[in-house]
Parts: sequence; C-alpha cells; structure tokens
Amino acid sequence: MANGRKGFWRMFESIVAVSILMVFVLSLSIQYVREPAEPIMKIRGYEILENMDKNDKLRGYVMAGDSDGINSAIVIGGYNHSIEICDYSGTCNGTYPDAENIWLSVYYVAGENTYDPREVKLYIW
Amino acid sequence: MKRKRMKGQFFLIIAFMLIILFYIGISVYLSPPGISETLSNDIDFIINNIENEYPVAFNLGINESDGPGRVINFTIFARNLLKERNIELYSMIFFTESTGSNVNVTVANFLEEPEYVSVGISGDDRILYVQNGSVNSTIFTDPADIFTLDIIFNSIQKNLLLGKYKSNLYFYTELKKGYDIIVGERKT
Repeated sequence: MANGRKGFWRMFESIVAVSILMVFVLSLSIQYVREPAEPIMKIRGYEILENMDKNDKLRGYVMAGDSDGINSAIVIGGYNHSIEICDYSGTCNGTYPDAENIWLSVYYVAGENTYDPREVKLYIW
Repeated sequence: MKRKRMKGQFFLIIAFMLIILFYIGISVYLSPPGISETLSNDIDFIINNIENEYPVAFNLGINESDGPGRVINFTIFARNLLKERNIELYSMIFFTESTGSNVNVTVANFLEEPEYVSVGISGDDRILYVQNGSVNSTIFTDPADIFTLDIIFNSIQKNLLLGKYKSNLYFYTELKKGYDIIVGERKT
C-alpha cells in the first residue's frame, strides 16, 4: 500500500516536471515562429522611398513618370514590389499588383524644376 | 530509524529553479526585438515627408511668382490623398514676402476650424480671421531688415526672427491616424 502511494507521487512528480518543461519550451518557440508583422513591411517601404529621395535617386524618376526605373532600383529580398506614380488629377502610371496581402507605402513629391506634385506608391507583397 | 530522504521532491524543486533561471536568462539574451507601437506607425514618415516638401513647393512657387499658392495647393493635394487612407493632415501656414519696403504676411488655415490668428511686428499686433481652407493677409509698413514676427493661434505662440527681403515660410502641421497624433513645425 505504501509502495503504491509512493509510486503515485513519483508519477505525479514526473507529470509536473514534464508539464513545466513543455510550458518552457512552448513559450520559447512561440517567440521565434511568429510571422513578421505587417507594419514592418510598410515601414520598410517608407524607408526605401525616403532613402532614395535623400540619395537623389527618386525625384528624377518621379517627374519623368518612370515607375519602372524606380522599381528597378528597389531590392527587397523575399518580396515582390511594384510602383505607381500618380499626378494631381489622379492619373496613375505603373503597376497595381494582382495579389493578396499587399503593403502600401506612399511618398509625396512637390516637384523638381517646376511645381508638379506627385504621389509615389510602393506596393510590397 | 531510517530517515526518509525526499529525493524526488528535492530534484523537482532544483529542476524548477534551474528552468526558471534558464528561461529568464535566455529570454533576455535571445528574444527577438519587440515590435513597438511606434514602429508600426507610418505617420512618422509621412509627416517628415510633408515637412520636407513644403519648402520645395514654396521655392518652386517663388520661381513661378506664387510661393504661397504652391504650398497651399500641395497641402490640398496631400490632404485629399491622405484622407483616402484615413489619415488627417492639419496645417497652419505663415508666409512673409517683401513688397518694396513693406512686408506682406499671409496665413493659410487647414486646421478644420476657422481661426483667429494674431500676427505682429514690433508691437503692431493684428488679428486675422481665417476660415478653414482659406487665406488672409495683412501688410506691415517698413519693418526692420531683420524683424520678429509674433504669431499666436490656438494656444500656440511663436516669435520668428525673419529677414525682410527674403521670402519666409513657417508651418505647423498635425497628422492624425486613429488615436495616433504627431505634430511638427518648421521655419524656412
């Protein structure tokens, strides 16, 4: 009888030990399998456009309406991307992606040699 | 009498303490960077973009003899497009331009409400009533070559040191997306 009770407690202890270990392992693994959050890619898009403008690699393309030129200058590993350039009247030149889960970052340009405002849209998917 | 030694419980307690210590150490050292709310907020970039483009629009407009007009046009352009993304842009914009020896001060209001704006040079203070989406202006007679423009609107007070024979731009902007609001201002 005493041995049976001892065995019960030993079993109970091992179950508790395994449970503690499982909680520990699961809580660690959850942190590492989480998908990158959507806001990160959106922010990445803004950073790309901002840096291109700072390096004088954006405005010329924008004013020429050269969406392909801007798109070729962008490299985002693991993702597709496309550019649209829209003028004041809302007319856009470029490629709107045919995809689900698209992240959009926008950048505004007032002009280069003359005032001619444009909106640059960077789509990432 | 044989003393019973509680081996199993002892090991369990020690194992539990080691797991806790290990977990604390590894989670602090190896955890991926947390995603803060500020990282997910794109309006930081947008307001920076707008603030950088206002002077561009102003300078291009000056070349076309309409500095204030181009800034106002750009504000309307950006506001309309941002509204499609549920982002609200609010601005109060001040321009000074010399007209001979005098200085013309123009105020453009995009704060969504009509505003009483105080503008003054050397104690000559005037109140301009500016409707939302509209402009109002006043002329100061022969101020000093370097003068201080005192402005008050909405509980904001500024004293701007400006050159008389230079076109000047000062703007206050607010960008609002949901519950996030970011405020900026710049003089150029």
